[in-house]
Amino acid sequence: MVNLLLGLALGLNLLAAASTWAALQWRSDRQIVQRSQTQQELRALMDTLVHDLRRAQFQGQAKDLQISPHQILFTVNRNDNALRDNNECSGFRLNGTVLQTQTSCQPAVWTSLNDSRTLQILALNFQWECDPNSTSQGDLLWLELRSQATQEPVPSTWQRHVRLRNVHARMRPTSTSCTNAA
Amino acid sequence: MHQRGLATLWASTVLLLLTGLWGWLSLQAVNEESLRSHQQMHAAHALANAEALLETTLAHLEQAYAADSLEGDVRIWLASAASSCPVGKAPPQWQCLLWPLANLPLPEWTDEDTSFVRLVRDVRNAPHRIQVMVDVKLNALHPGVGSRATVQQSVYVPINAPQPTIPLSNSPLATFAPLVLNEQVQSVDAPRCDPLAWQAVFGDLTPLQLKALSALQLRNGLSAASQVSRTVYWVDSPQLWTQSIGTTLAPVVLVFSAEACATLCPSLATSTQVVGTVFFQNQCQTSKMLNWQSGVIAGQLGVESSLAPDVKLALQNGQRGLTGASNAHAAFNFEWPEGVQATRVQRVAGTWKNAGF
Repeated sequence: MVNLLLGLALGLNLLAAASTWAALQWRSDRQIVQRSQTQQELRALMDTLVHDLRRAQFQGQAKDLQISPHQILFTVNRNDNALRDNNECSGFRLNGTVLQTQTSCQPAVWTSLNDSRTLQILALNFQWECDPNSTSQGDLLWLELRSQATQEPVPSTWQRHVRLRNVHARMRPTSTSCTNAA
Repeated sequence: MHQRGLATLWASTVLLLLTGLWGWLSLQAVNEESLRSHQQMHAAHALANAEALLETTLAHLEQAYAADSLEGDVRIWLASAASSCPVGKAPPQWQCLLWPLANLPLPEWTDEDTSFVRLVRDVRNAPHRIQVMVDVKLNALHPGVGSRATVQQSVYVPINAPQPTIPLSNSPLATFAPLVLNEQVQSVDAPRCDPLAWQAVFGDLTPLQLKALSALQLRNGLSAASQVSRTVYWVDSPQLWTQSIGTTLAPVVLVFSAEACATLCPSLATSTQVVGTVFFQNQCQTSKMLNWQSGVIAGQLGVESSLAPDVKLALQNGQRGLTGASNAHAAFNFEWPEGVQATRVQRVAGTWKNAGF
């Protein structure tokens, strides 16, 4: 009888430990997968931002690059002609908790890049840093993206420096001021 | 009791298996995330290599065009070939070249066999604007072997010059002066012939540059009969000119050089029509322009001397087959944006692009 009770107790203990371990593992797995998805989504957003920003400005005019702390408007030359076609106006802005990109000049069309039900963009900041060197390969743009996934208790912040290859001392619009990077 | 013990064992085993499965899935997720990070790092590395190679190429171009730009241009494009052209940019309008990578210091881990630097230009409409395309792949010595990035940038090269802005009236029908002469009077005190007519017609574009453009178009296969027609003709021969060239949409420039005018300038055959600009380099010697024209010129005529008064009057009145056209200079009026110097290699605003990352 004692042996039986002992076996039962051991068995139940083992079951309880296994259940707890399984529950922990399940939660941890869910967290890892969700975090991975969020990371992936954020990385895709940052890649889109960086990729488009690198090509910013193609005619060297003031309207080709307008930078404010939370919005950037620029033109890109998609088809190698000398004209600014209607699909060559681009830009990024924060609309509520949604990051949007401009996809046409007239009328201005803004397209959402994230689903705010799963990922909210809390802040989008730009800072244009001039490179005064005459042989510079382009000014720098500091960008910051603060986001929070629905299941995450703490927001995360991503920062990147992007070299604007088409914006430098020789082809810099005078309409917007930049800070000196040096 | 025995059955209850078995059930406990069975449940524990299932839970252990599930736990193991979740653990494995977590590990997979972490591995995938790690893989993505690595891929991004490798792509960034490929992009950095592509950018470095682009800068190296631009520096080499700058050097090649620094001393004698026309000679440098010929030297660089000597190896151009139709097979080097991308889709949609075929000769004779386009000239393409794959720059031998052996001549360039490659960034570390760049695969020399699969990477390339391609130069492309439109020999008719913008021979002074070269598009440099760099495509880089990482080699087997790099953990990110095969990662690829492309970047491109266009540059202006100093092989021609901007046209002076000639004030035309606001009328859309406004034309250049149809007749440009050099009225300079040579004397013993001033024996030199200043090319005033040339400067009035061509601005800073030199005879050597125009001659080189003509040779370039010819070398690349452009002709009056090609689908995209030739627009620059430099003639050193004193033979009678019998070819009708140029259209209203695609005017030409036809120059009879000092060599062609050595004895007497060639004449245009009766039935010929030239739409665009015709120029005679007759070295301020009116005597070389005897009986030189019977054809029709629609555009502008430049002569490096004066002409007999009756001929001059007849030409100015349009009685000897000369009529003006607003686009007479289109064949050699190349795009040079304000602020861009035509004396050195310079980047074209906003043409840097990347792809692949």
